Amino acid sequence: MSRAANPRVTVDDVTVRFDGALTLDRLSLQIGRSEFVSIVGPSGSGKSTLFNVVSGLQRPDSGRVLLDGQEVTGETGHVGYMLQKDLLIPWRTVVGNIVLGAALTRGARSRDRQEAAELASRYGLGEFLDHYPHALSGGMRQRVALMRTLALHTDVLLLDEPFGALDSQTRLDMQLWLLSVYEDLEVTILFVTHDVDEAILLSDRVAVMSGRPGRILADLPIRLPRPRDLGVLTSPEFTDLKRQVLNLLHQTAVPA
Amino acid sequence: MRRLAIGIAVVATLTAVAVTAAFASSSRPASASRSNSLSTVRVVFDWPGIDFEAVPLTVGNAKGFYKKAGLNVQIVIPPSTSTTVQMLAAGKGDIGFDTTTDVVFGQQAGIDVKSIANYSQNNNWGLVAKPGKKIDVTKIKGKSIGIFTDSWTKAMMPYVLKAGHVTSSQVKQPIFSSDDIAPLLAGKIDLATNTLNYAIAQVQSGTGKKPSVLLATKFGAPNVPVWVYTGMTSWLKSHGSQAKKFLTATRKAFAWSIAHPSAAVKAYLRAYPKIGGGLKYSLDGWKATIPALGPKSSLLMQRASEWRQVAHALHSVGLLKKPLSPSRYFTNAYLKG
Amino acid sequence: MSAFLRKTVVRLALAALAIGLIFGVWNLVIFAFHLKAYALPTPQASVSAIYHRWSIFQPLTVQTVKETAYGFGIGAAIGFLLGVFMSASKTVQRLIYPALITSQAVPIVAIAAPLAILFGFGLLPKLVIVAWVVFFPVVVNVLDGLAHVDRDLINLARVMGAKRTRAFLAIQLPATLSPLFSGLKIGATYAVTGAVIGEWVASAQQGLGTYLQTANASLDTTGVMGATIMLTAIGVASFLLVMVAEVVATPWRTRSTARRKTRFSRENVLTHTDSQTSTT
Repeated sequence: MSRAANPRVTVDDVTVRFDGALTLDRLSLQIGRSEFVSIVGPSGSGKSTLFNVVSGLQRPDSGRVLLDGQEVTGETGHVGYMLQKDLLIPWRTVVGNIVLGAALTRGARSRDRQEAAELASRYGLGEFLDHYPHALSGGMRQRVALMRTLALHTDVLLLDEPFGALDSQTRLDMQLWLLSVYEDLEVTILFVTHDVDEAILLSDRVAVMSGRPGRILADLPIRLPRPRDLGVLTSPEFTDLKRQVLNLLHQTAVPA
Repeated sequence: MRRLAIGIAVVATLTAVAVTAAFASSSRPASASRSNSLSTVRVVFDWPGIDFEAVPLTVGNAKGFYKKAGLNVQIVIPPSTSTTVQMLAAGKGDIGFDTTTDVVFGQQAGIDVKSIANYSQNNNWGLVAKPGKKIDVTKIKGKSIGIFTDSWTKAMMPYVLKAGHVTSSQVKQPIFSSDDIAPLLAGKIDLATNTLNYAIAQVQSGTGKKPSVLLATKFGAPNVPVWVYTGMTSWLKSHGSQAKKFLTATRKAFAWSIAHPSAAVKAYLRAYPKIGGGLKYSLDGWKATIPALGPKSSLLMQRASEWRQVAHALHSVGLLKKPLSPSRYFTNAYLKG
Repeated sequence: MSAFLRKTVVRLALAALAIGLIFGVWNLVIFAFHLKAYALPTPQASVSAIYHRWSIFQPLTVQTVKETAYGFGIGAAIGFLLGVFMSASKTVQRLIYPALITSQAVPIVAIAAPLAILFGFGLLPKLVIVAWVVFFPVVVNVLDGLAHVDRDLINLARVMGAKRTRAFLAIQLPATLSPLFSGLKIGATYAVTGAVIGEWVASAQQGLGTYLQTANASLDTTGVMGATIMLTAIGVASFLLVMVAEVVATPWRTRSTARRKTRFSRENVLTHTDSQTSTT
């Protein structure tokens, strides 16, 4: 595990129980500033629960969550959050959805809307500022969802399989796009996925989670140079890393 | 698949049989059915619920007056108000018990229905007030007078307004569809309009006291009968002797019911045990109806002048486009013999 | 011709065709069963009666429309508020819901008479009856709409730092609009019948309902059918009005873009070209 001097996000010894069974078992994880960390693991390993704890939606039974060293356990509003569902609000336009964070807290001002328009334009949705979500494709909607998350200016993003519902062609486009956004804005990302290729392509580290009760079994650094592109996917280093991850995953596939 | 086809065929056949039977039974002419060699005469009532005005008919059955005349009289209840004429026209009844105005409207609508006998001889429509409250028709300005939607009320109200020297907009006329006595007793309206036999019966059985009443004829309304017995000209032509026998027996039933009101009402209640109102209401009502039936000597008899007046009254309130000659509305031919 | 205009013309033509079809079947029934005018008048005669008696029909229609419209508004408001309150508290819901369902099982004709005694013969008892008919579909739909708001969306709002009330106003309340209009469409169609029943029991003012009875009492079948056609027209018009209101209030259901455009100059924006693949 890489320990930066001041980790951006610290998950410290978090335990969560549900119906008497352990969902997360003394899970610890640190993410450094502007690091991109992916979590891979079997279904039901408590990845969503980990997300709920880090985002503040759920209080762990024990353990803490720290942001820049400050405790934020159980507090919402500190991180950005994105699911497989785009959760775009149907009666708001693209711009309206991007400014949702501001709209729900202090109220969206014209400056927020201008920023949203700039963000959308910069990433290819300039022609769709006033469109309603139902008029956009799945990929476009996820892009808007990511922009909504970026517009929160929290600089820490939790992404839970955001491209899982898209077809493989679109998914690839979106992965490359996410890479460019990440390189542009230098945000800190915690990313959950089933797709090992996706994890390796995008991340600085891949953490392998066990099945229930969930804990981090292994933390693999991904030493591929940035900026990354399609070519990375077929390089020998990539294949080697993939083999390592798959081995680790295979070990954890045995039910606990 | 085959079983399904057979099943459908069976259901279809049964349905066809049921529908045909229903049609057949409903269009069976009266004269074709005989029970113990009595001919059936269907008399259609004027209201979708039976009440004490049917006493003479039930007495006619109970005391055997109709049976002696070779008739089996069945009382048919119409499904709604103002449908008696239509039921006669459609062949669902032979003789109707109806209001004079309905005969006039029937003729206007092209239905050749005629009145063959008067039920009542007088106009017993009027104003009703709470027991003890005096009615002064000249002081109705600004008051609320409950009215119904029927044509008799519409024909009579102008006389009320004229007697009170007011226009229609100077009195409140809330419209009721079935009961204006209850609101009167509850104090929601100052006056109610009604035929007095019903008003008296309802108030007496409800409060034990007699209401304050004022006959419309006392302030200028024509003294024309409210109810009559009717028949389609076509039916009368082919069943003339039955019509005559019916009216003769009915006159006897009238005389008996007037002479023995309590026994008559009890006979009526025995025939219709499940009606609302009960003994007191029905007895009060029948007793209040008797004055309107006229002297014994002229029971059921009609006069041309009555029909002229009814037609004129309806014409002057705009309900009747063209008054016809009285012979189009009535005939006394079946009262003789 | 613009696409919108063409669509409207087509819709109107179809509506006219539908009416023509109904009138055609009506005439056919009269012909097939040899019905005389006193049993069932022709649609032509009924419509002509409306036209010739318009001076009588016009104030009657205004009265019935007034009863229907006000009662509808009251019923819709009550239904909406009840739906919101019941969704906020399961206890309230369990307490009130059975009573609401029972209220609809009671035949309106039965309660109309006591209502007239209680509230008199003016506008009020009719408003109560119309509201009675309208509020229930609204309650049910609003309640269902609120229950089906995506749990994840509410969580998202919380993660973003929204307070509970703010999230409710921004996410749950607007989510009720579509189901609300479904309920309103149902209520609108039945509202006018409520007004007529109210008029039947007791009425200080003449409306189409009282005219129905008066015409029936003088065997004026063309008058009866004329009034019936007017009442049907009110019901249909109510429904259409709600449909129009729905399109206006929920533009995202029928439009791709919002009417109000974001004013934005793209001159100063560096468009990111690296991953500018297809617009997926």
